[in-house]
Amino acid sequence: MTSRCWSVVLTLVAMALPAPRPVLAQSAPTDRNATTPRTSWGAPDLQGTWSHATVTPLERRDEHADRAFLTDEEVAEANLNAATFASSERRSELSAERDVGLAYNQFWWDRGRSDGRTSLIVDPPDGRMPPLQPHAQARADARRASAQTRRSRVPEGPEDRGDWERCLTLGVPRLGGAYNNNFQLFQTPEHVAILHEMVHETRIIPLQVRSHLDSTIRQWLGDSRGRWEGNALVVETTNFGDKRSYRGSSMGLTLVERFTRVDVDTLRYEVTVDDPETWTRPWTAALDMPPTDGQIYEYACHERNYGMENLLRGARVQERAAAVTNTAEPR
Amino acid sequence: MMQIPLAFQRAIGTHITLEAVVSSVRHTPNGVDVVYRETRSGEMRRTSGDYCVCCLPMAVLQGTDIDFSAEMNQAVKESGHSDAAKLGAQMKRRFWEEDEGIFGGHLWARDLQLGEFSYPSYDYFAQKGVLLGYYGSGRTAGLGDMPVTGRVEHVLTQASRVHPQMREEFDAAYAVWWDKIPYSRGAYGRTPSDDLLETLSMPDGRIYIGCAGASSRPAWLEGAIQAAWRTVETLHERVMRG
Repeated sequence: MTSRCWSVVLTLVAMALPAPRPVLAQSAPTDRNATTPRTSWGAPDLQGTWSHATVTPLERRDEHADRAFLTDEEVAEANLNAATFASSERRSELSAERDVGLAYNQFWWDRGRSDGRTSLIVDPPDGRMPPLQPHAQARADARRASAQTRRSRVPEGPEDRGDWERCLTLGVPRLGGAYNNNFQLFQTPEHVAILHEMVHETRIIPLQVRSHLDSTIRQWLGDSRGRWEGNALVVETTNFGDKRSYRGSSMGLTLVERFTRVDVDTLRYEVTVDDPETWTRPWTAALDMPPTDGQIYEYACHERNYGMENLLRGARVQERAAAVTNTAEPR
Repeated sequence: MMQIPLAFQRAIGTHITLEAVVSSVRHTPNGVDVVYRETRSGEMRRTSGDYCVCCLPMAVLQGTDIDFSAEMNQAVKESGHSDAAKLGAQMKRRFWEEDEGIFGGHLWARDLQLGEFSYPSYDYFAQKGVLLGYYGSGRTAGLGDMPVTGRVEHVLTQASRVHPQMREEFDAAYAVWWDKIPYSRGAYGRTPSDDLLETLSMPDGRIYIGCAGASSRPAWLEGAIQAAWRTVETLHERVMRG
């Protein structure tokens, strides 16, 4: 079958699939699952393996500025693109550099589907992050310039590479992602544990320790405290450090996450990002997450732990090659 | 980790002499003589072989009488080792979990002289727990010269600035500074330069250095295997060549 035929088939399949129901547009759970599952000790049961994969963008794009939902055709197009962007048929259209940059074939990507909304951000109502504070804008510009400098030079050491590449952390919150978007949630009466597939990080959230750590103690994933509000698990996280930032946030960032079992097959996730040092007002994003089949496997960040060493060795080779080139050039 | 040497011991146990402190290694016209002292009897003994594969840690090798060539002597002398020390502090209860909701990870603070301080990433919610109270240079704050009680006091004082519960919850400790361990004299070898490793990898007459210090990964078991593999290959090739 030619690639053109495949494209036609894929288009038809994608068009035939119903667009996901925009659950977040509805205010109440569906009747068939009106009762929230409960644990043996009576707490709402949020346990299971869930996926935060989605191609719904965090912020509303300019062309969708006046509406909260995509048309059925737009949803089909977004889902088709997510399902085929790295397929061999489409990769043949790419430059060699872009093709290598994709790294994996379609099978390994896990970008999820559009839920029909034009943004994950539900507040402000325009679906966009609020404006940055003036000093936060200056900080963002400086960070961008610094990152650009770092990217343009050969890395001197691991510190010149990102936290994720160094297998340190991917941070929180997690909304969407290219792959490994699964997490498993465990509960006891006193704790909730969230094991993220990506970077294999586990957040262990106490439900009964109410006060946060001393402000002098800062953690990669912050300091999380959980509580139940009705059927919602509310997790407040503070004490972030200065080594990692969420979309330009400062150490003053507070995240308030709400996990609600809307029905058997849906875990609703809402996160409010509050950082007066950075944004002119708090903002909130929301995502309905489906359960996933199977178990989470270990995330082997660097194959045999040689990734970083080989990367830096390559950098030294580049330096030597550049030195030879410079020496060889006529004056 | 220990299972690898134990498996070798099961296979070649009758050829192993334990509790023997090597005193000297000398070339003879057709082989190598090793003189050692039996620690139990104190008697000096000699054993001979066609070749000697010397796996003493590099820091111990530096203080042993071996008739290396001048070049190899210099290479051995230049091989460094880590002066790391460690202290494990057992606490009566896991207050960092119970009181503060900290589960695993490390504590880094610029103004604390603790080197690396780590929370156990196992046995969450157990009653007791062992903190890595200190992992860093044994020379920091004169730690290496202190008795164990002094090192414990140092860690409790420093860590209490972050965790005031430390002193009250302290149960027991174990401290080691490998520089002071007679048959280690250092935590692990420093990674040698390429030139140095090339020299250390070559046989010196009939003596081969087979320890992890003569590898590109001296701090790891992998380094010991790398050095062993190279030594066996080199020696085998030489013997088969005749």
